[in-house]
Amino acid sequence: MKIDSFEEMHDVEARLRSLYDAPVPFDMDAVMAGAARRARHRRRARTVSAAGGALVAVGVIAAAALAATFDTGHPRPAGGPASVTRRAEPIQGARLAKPLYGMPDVAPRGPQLVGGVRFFSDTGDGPGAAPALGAQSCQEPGRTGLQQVASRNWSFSKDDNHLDRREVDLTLTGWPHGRGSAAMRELVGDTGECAFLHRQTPLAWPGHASPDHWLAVSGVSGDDRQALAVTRVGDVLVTVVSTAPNEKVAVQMATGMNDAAVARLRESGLPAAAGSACSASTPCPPASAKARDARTNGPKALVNAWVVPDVHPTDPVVIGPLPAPGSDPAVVDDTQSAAIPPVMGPQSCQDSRRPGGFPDAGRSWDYGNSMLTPPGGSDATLTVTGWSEGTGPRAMADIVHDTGFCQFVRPMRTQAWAGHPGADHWLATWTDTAATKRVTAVAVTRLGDVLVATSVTSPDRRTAVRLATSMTDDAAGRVRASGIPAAQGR
Amino acid sequence: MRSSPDLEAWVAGALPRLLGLAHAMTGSRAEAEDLVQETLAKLIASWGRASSADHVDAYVRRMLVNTWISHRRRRWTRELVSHAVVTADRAVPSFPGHGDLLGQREELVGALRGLPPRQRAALALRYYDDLSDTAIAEALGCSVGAVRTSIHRGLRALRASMPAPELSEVRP
Repeated sequence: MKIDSFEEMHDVEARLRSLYDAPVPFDMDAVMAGAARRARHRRRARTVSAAGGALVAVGVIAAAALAATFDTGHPRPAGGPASVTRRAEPIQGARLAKPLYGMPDVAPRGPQLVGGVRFFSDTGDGPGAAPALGAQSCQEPGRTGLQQVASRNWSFSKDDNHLDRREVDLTLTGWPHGRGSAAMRELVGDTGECAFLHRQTPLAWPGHASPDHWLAVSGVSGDDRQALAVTRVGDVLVTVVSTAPNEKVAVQMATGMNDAAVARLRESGLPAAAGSACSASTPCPPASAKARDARTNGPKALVNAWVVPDVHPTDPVVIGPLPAPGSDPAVVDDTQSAAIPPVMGPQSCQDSRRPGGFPDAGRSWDYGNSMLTPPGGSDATLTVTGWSEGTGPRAMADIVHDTGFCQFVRPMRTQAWAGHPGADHWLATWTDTAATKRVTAVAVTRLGDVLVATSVTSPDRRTAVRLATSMTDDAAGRVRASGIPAAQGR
Repeated sequence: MRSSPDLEAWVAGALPRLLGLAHAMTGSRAEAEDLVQETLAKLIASWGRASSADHVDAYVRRMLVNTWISHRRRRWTRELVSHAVVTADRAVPSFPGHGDLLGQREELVGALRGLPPRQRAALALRYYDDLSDTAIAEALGCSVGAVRTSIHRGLRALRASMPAPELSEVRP
C-alpha cells in the first residue's frame, strides 16, 4: 500500500495495513507438501494407535512381560484412558509377548511399488499389528479371536504429490499352525478381535478367484477411497490397505503391491508360508528386525520415533475448572510431534546455539487456551516427551537448570513439592509482572527416559500449583501403567 | 444438496490468503508457513466435516486462529526472536526514503509482538482480512464486544509503544 501523507503515516491503522500488505515470498508448493506430510503422519498415528490399543490393555495386566514386545524400539501406543481402565477385558491376540518367528522382508521395491509411493517405515517384528492395519481397530470391547503369533508392517506414502493422499500399509500376520484359513475367514467375516473401521464392499479380483484372496473397498474421509487386498499364504495373511483419492488407483495399489509381497514371501522359504510348523527340519527365522523408517535418511523430522500413549487426565477432580481437550472441535488440543519442547508453553527452542536437541517423541494436550480463557480462568498444557535411551536424567537436569536446547523464556523459581523429593521431580513458578499477576506453575516428573510436564497459567498461585502437580501425578501414573519401555529403563 | 468443494481446489484458491493472515498474526514467514501447514494437516483429516460447513472459509479461518493460539509455545517463542530474524524475510520496498519506513515498520513489528494473542489476531483479521466485527468474533470464538475491546486496546497499545514523529517542524 502506498502511503500518501504524513498524517496517514502517523495513523497506526494505516501503518498496520501497510505492514500487512507488504508482499511476502511464500513457498506455496513447500507449504502444501508439508501439510500433506503432516496429515499423513497424523493419520498414521491414529491408525497405529487404534491397532495397538489392545496391547496397552494387556500392559496394565502384565507390563513387564509386554516390555519384551517392544524390543524393536517402536512401542505400541496406548488407546487412551478408556483402554487403560478396560483392564478386565480379555484381549486374546495380544497375549503373546514375543513373536514366534521373524517375518522376512517382503516390502515391494522399485517397479513393484505402485502408484508412485515410496517406503516410509518398517515396524519390525510383532506380534501386535492388526491383520489389516490401517483399516481396523482392535479396541472394540467384547471381541475375541484367534491369537496371531507373528507380524510385521511396512508403510509407504507418496511425498511429492501435495494433497494427493496416497499411502499404503502392508502387513504380514502369522497364525498358529493350520489356522491360516480360519484367520482368513475371521478377517473377511469381520468376526475377529479387530474390527473394520468402515463398511467393506467386496470386489471381484481378476485371476484371484479363491477363498484365499479377498478384495474390498471402502470410503474413509472426504473423497478418499480405501482398498483392501488380502491373500492367505499358508498360515500367513498378506494384507495391503491403500488409500487414494479415487477407487481405481486405490485398487491398483492394493492388488499390485499384494501380488508383489506374496511373491517375495513365497520366495523367502518361511515355513509358515508353506503351511509348515517350526521344527528342526524347518527352522523358523528368529524375530529381530530392527524397526526403521524414512526419517533415518533425513534431518530431524516432526514425526515421532514411537507413539506416545494418550495419557491426558480427564478426571474433574484432577483437572478442576480447566476445559477438557476436545471440548471444542475447532481447537487443536492434541499435538504429536518430536519437535516440541519438554515443557510446552513457557519454553522456547529457537536458539540453535544451545546444546542438545528435540526428544525422540513428544505429545502435548492443551486444556483451553489464552484466547478463550476468561480473565479469571486458568489454562494448561500437558507435555510428554521421550528421550534416547539413558538420556532421561540429562533431559530432566536440563529442565531444572535450564541448560537444554529448549529454554525457559522467563526465570523460573524452584518450589518445594511435598511428597516428591529427589531429582526426578521438579516444581517451579513464575509470576507475571504485568497488572494481571498471572502465575505460571510447572511440574515435571521423570520416568526412565520419559518426562511428564504440566504448565498451568492461572490468576491464583495456589490453583496453578495444585493443577500442575495433580495433572503431572495423574499423567505420570498413566505413563507408568501404559508399560512403554522408555518409561521403564527399557 | 450442496456439493462439497474439492479439497485441493479449495486449498489452491485459499492458500495465499491463509498465508497472509498467518503472517499478519505471527509476524514471521517461517512461522506463518508452519502455522498454515499445521492447519491444513488438520483440515485434510477433517475435510468431510469442514467442506459441509456453511462457510468453509470462516471455518478454516477459525481453525487457523485457534491453531496459532493453541500452540502457545509460539506465543512465548516470539519474545526470543530478534527483530532482525523477524524482518529478515520481509520484502524491502524500493523507493526513496524506504530506510525510514523500514525503521518504522520494525518498530511496528516489535510493538505487535508485545501484544497478547487475542489482540494480535483481532488486528490481523480486521486490517489484513478486512473482516467485520461479527466475522472476527466468529473466528475468535468470542463476542462482538470482546472483539471491539481487543482491537481498541491493541491499537491503543501500538500507539503508546511507537514514538510520535517530530511534529514541531510542521506545526504553524
